Amino acid sequence: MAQTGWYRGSNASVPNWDGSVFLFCLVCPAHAGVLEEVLSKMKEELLALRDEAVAAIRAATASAELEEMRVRYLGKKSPLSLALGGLGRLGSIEERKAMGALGNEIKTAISEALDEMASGLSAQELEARLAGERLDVTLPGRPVRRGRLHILNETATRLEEIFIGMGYEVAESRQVETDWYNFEALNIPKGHPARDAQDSLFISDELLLRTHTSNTQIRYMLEEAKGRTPVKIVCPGRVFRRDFEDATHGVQFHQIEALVIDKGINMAHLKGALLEMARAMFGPEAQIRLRPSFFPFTEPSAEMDISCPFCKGNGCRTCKQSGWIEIGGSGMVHPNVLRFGGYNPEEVSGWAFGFGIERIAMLVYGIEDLRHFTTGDLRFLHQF
Amino acid sequence: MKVSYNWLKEYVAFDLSPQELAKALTARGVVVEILTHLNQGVEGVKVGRVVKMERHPNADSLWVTQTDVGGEVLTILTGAQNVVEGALVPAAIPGAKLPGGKQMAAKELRGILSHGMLCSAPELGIDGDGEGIMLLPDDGELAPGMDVADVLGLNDWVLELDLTANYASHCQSMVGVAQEVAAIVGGQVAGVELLAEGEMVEQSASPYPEADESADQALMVAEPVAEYGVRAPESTESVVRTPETKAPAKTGTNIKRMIGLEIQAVDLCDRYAARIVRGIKVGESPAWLQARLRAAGMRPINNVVDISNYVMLELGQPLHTFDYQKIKGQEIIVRRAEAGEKMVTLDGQERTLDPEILVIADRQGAIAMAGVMGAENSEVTESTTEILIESAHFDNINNRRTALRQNLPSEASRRFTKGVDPSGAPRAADRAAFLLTALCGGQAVQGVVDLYPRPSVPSVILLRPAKVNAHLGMAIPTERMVAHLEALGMAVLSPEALALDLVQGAPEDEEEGADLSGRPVWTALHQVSPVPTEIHAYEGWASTAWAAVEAAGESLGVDGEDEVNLEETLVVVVPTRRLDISIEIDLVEEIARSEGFDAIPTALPVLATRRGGRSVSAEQVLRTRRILAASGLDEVITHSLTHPRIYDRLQLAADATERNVITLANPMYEDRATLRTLLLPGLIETLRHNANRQTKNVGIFELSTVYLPKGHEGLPEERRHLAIALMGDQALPGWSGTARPADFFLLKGLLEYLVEALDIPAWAVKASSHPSFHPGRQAALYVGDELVGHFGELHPVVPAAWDLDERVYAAELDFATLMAGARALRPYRSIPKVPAVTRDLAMLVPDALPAAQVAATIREAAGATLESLFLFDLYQGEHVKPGHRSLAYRITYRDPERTLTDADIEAAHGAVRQALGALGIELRS
Repeated sequence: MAQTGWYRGSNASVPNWDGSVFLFCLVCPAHAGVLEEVLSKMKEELLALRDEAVAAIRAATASAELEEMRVRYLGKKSPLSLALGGLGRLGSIEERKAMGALGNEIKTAISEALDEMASGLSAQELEARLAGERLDVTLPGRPVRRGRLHILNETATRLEEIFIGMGYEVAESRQVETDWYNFEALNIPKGHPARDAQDSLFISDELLLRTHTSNTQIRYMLEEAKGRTPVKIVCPGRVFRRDFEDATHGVQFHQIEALVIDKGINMAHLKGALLEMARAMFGPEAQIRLRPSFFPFTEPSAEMDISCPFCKGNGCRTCKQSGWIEIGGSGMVHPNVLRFGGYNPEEVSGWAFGFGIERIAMLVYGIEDLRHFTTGDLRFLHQF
Repeated sequence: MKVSYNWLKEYVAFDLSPQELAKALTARGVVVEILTHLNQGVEGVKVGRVVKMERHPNADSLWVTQTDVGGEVLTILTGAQNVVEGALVPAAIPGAKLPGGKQMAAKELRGILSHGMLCSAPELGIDGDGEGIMLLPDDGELAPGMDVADVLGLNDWVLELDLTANYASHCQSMVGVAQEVAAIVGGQVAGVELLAEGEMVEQSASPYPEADESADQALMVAEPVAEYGVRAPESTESVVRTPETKAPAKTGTNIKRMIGLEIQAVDLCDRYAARIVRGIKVGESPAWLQARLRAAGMRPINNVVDISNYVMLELGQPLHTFDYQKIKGQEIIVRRAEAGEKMVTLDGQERTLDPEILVIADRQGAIAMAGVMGAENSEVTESTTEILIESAHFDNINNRRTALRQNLPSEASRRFTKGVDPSGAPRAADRAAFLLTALCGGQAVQGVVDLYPRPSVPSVILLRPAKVNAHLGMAIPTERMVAHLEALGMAVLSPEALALDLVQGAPEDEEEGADLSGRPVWTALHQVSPVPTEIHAYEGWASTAWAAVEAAGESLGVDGEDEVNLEETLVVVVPTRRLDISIEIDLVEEIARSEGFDAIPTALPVLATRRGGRSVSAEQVLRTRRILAASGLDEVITHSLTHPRIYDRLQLAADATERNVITLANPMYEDRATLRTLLLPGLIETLRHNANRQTKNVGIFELSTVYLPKGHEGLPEERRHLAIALMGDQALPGWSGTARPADFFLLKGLLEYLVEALDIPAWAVKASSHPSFHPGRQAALYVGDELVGHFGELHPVVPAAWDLDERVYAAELDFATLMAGARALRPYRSIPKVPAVTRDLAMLVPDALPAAQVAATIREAAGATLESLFLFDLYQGEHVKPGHRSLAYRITYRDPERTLTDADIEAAHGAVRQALGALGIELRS
């Protein structure tokens, strides 16, 4: 990168080619011929400068060099800028214009050469950089830890959401309950065979761990609704039975139930709500079926079946070839229960249904053992 | 209840296959759980008579028999030692098949060709003892050559019912199930042959005349004395009670001269009926009866026991038989046992009784535990000739309790528990008397004793067809409702009929030959269920029954005066065996299941609706759980019921409030006997479970209920707690990963994240000294002035108490106290338009001086322009004075109103430096 130092050769006292060296001589008649000579020389030198610059630029190998050259050839202190800056003191207007035009021409040429070279070089350099930055994209990503909500609670939440969407309130109540709320008010008087089947865990004669979420029905009627209609609630919660713990039974498990009370509620409405729930949970194809059964707190009472979600009702191992899977109990609220809840069964009617949340989760995901829900085994929890 | 398909056909004619029958019954709510065919592969096995037998010449243990298998006598070898000449045995002759697909062929045994084999019960697929050959009853009914599968009733299906509580009472008998079948097919239930009162049977001719007739036909009854289940009031052929039978016969030996009866415990026994049969010969039951018992899952014992079981299966009424001669003083007393009274039950055990137990006693003492088990002192044995048949009705609750307490479950007790029709008691005694005379050579003593202190009468229920349809969302015509109810043995009448009865007033039944005509409802009451024939029992029944009629009239408003819209109401008279039916809605259910639930349409109601959704607290719980899961923690669900040892493991003080637990009176497991007061033990248990399975990096939480003994209105208090437990690396493993080992500050950071996310501004952390935690690595979280809970590293002895050799960081917080500090709405501040100025400040702080104090000092000194304060470095070790830490804070100053000048900053920052200096802190920058 040679400095074109013509001024260094002709006059060592002129460090910068700004024309000042000619200041005196140019007005001196004795040097009249000199001006012409100088201008001619200057033109020659500028053209040489252009050629030199363009050649240097074309020879550059990195963007950084180009930046240096841009400063050297086009910067404020570059020979070109100095030469053009000194033109004001030279010759006639015409001559100055001609020189100026030449200067700009040269400037443009250098500039273009720089730009052209820069874009080429930067593309190359980018390519080189990208080539160097290649990753093994098949390596695993950096793990983001996701905490899991328990699948049982998630199933309950999903069921709640289905009913909230239909305008139901979520109601919860006590797990340690009095005999009255758990049995008596639900039309299960002392000595009733249904008490036998429930095999309850008692704390005292009057206090027990609730055997179903149905106590919420009574508490809601008496403590929240207080005779108003409509009542539309969905009640999830933990319940307890005196049972051996095995793959399908537990001392503790969870239920969810729904209750609707209003004037003119009938069993067709029960079927309607069940169908909505079944379709939201198991897909738009789901069907429901009611079979006569017995629960003390409903009459008529029915077992609810859904069409088997695995075989679409065609029969498979899960549904024991029946095409149907039993999911819970339901029925029209027994008049005694309405009365205990402060409602007149001659004026209003209602339906209720309920089922085990574990059972639904086991059904939906094919979980084989109830105990997985409570061991907290991460190999289980992390599957959801 | 196990129902034999063939036996059922005896009571009702139907044309359904066993599969169709099972489906139809299930659809009605009489759930057929299992349908099995009794014959497990017995084919071509004949009844054989061993005409001659001798020892095998070449084998000591074998017998060579000559067995008549009908038409030919075959040589059949047997190794059994119980066969005698003349015995009737099942002979599997060549070509016959046995269960398991085994086909018989002639086979040589030690030089003698055996033409098949003689069979034991198990070889025929029958439950029974496998000792020896099955000996068939030789009572003249069986003959060589008969098909053994027929004789043993194997060509039959058994429907095993899973009865719900409401159908348990009326469907736990053959006639009860028959009534349901009749309703399905539109048929009628046939009666059973009874020995009516007053009838003296001298010598019963065998009702099973020809041995070649099948057992099923043997019991066909020509003219039943009493009809079971009268369908409609119009059918007047079989009015049960007539004046002629009401009066006791005045001649001959009457039962009343043979036995006295007294019910002392009227509250536990509302009816006691008895009959006596003399001249009994205890022996084996006929094959058909044995077969039916076996089909029902009962083992034949002897004819007397078998008959009482048979009648129980047939009619649903449990019976007990006493050896009449062993009843001391010829008197039966139904009473509560005396405290300390002793009795040896039939199982040979001496039992000490108490007044909670109802006994049947004679003059000397208890002779049976009522409805549970008899006593040895009155037992029927092989030498018994005179039998007293007890057919009584005992209180179901007391009976169940006694059976449970004495650990004596029985078919009888199970039936009493589920409910027995009191009206049927004398009829069952009659039926047993009939069978005892017919099958055991007995003679029935004239008359029945029947005390009925609390009579059961048919319910008279008013049914509004419009209500039925409104309840079901259907449009069933009234006639069809009537048909459904009548098919179930009910009588359906009009309100006019009721008015007709009421206008005439109470019937005067003392009169001989009282006329029931013109009293349609009263007639129906007599028809739907058996009416007592014994005069005193009848009187009590009649007054109760008339009260039911009057009550119905009263609710309808029919007293002969007012005009009511009678077309809207039906008067339904319900048989007493339907213990499940007492109010209108019960009839709605009967109609619904008769129509079939599939006939109910599907609809959604249009309701004046309210806003759905969760309560505020339920919303908070859900939000908190989601926030914690978002932080990377996994949610767990642990047991509410635990063992109190967990509080020892947590090192809690002896008087810690957490030790006040609610204890179950009847726990299922010792480890699930008390309700938890803390969640943490469940979480530690979960950590241990995972650590034992090579999962040592765990971060979990639970937001659930704890149970405290003292709460509102005498009820325990249920509070929500939130517990967190961390163990091991909290970062996920990966090739590029950086470990994040669980430590105190990771846990504290989680709590800070939580209170920030829940927007709880007024929280504070203070030093604490909880025994469950590491003394130098624990703190208490406060919201306002309220203690929310403790957190920190667990004291090493705590995990060790769970056999867990890991450091555990844990927190347990009271959720309501925590959430009490949550703001309902987050305040918003507009984004500042002026720039902030930050200054970093490094300093040497003595270890004893808490960082919180340093931060507080800075905040206070800096004043209002301090926007934020952030500890960005902590260093301890080389180049730092011993006993000191190097802390570096970044302080951000900003005045939202104007740009701070250098002078402003210098003033604030200078004050900070000065205040820190005053604390003895050496500033490094």
